[in-house]
Amino acid sequence: MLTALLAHQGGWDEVLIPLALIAGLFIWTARRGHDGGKHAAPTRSPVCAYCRAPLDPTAKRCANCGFRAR
Amino acid sequence: MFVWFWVGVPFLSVVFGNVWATMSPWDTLARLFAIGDEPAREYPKSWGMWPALVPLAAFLLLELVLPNGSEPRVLAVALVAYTVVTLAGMARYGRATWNRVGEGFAVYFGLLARIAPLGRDAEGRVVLRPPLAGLPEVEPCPGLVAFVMTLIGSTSYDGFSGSSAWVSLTRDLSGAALTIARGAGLLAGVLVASGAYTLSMSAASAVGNVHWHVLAVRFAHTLVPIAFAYAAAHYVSLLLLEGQAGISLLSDPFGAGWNLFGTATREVNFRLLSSNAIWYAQVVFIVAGHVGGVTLAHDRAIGEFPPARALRTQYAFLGVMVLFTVGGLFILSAR
Repeated sequence: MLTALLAHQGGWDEVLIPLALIAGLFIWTARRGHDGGKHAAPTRSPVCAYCRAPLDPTAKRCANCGFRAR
Repeated sequence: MFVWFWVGVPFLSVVFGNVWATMSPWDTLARLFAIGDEPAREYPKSWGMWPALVPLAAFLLLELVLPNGSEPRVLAVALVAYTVVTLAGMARYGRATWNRVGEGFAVYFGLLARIAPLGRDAEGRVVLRPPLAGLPEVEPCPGLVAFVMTLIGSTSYDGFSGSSAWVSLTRDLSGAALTIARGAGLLAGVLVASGAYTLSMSAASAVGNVHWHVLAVRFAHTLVPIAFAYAAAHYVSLLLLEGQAGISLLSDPFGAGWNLFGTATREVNFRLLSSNAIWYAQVVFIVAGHVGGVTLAHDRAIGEFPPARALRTQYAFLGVMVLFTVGGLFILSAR
């Protein structure tokens, strides 16, 4: 069914090579992130993580951008 | 007129800035009748840009999914309904606010206008700026990522729906089954694009120790050049070839035999662009759009992360850009 599409291009390798590249990068960056043990416990920031506006510590959402306070 | 509107206005926007702010019939109507000068209610910030996604999705359904979506009667009903909803939104939450978060076309063209080398400064004066320089100023808000991913995913599906693979898959379908297949294809296009972006942001999150959703929102503006590149690559031939039909239609808009501007008998010149020229233009759009996206992402990463981590957060994003570039060209070449 896909013969025409594949024949038109070189084959699935043209998609698989970038996919493999991305998978490798994901694994590498994820391992580097975890191996470093740098994952700090999430803390309530005084500024909105999304828009950097000052955040009321009791607010559930940022008054400036509307996102949930992280 | 569909070609001039959906394809022509984006091109004008990325060259001349926010032309839709002047052209919008809904904004003009609201100004004419002083609708939304004083909003009845304050807009809930938590809604963000989600209301703008509704007309965008409806428009995409008409364009890409529903079999009778381009019939004048259907379009007229949709236009009247959208006019009523838009004016109601402007009356309730204010004209400027609704143009920013609810009027889907204003939101789309407004995002594209930030690519333009022409913009306005804080005092409203027209200024020259580097291309793309307006995009980092996009304010983060709920729905922004979904809106941009819908643009990218829908254009990808539109391109893929012309490929021999899709034609083979849907050859035996008709009626409701074909409509459902088209709807599923559209949804799949949006989900695949969103999934790839989410994965790249998750990888950056692991390196940068920032929640992936925060990154997804703060890097969302980097996808706008890609959204335009996809639209430009897919529709450039449509604009330059079928767009010519609009010139003759201007003289006879109702098919009543008029010749208002003497152009009613003008025929479409299909030799204006060769297939080679179209292909090279498509490659240039796709590659330039992704280079623009990577440039903006690098710029944002330097501001978000310490120098030692900034580069590493971008590897996965760069990989996704390569995939999007190859995928975009793959879809275009398969048509």
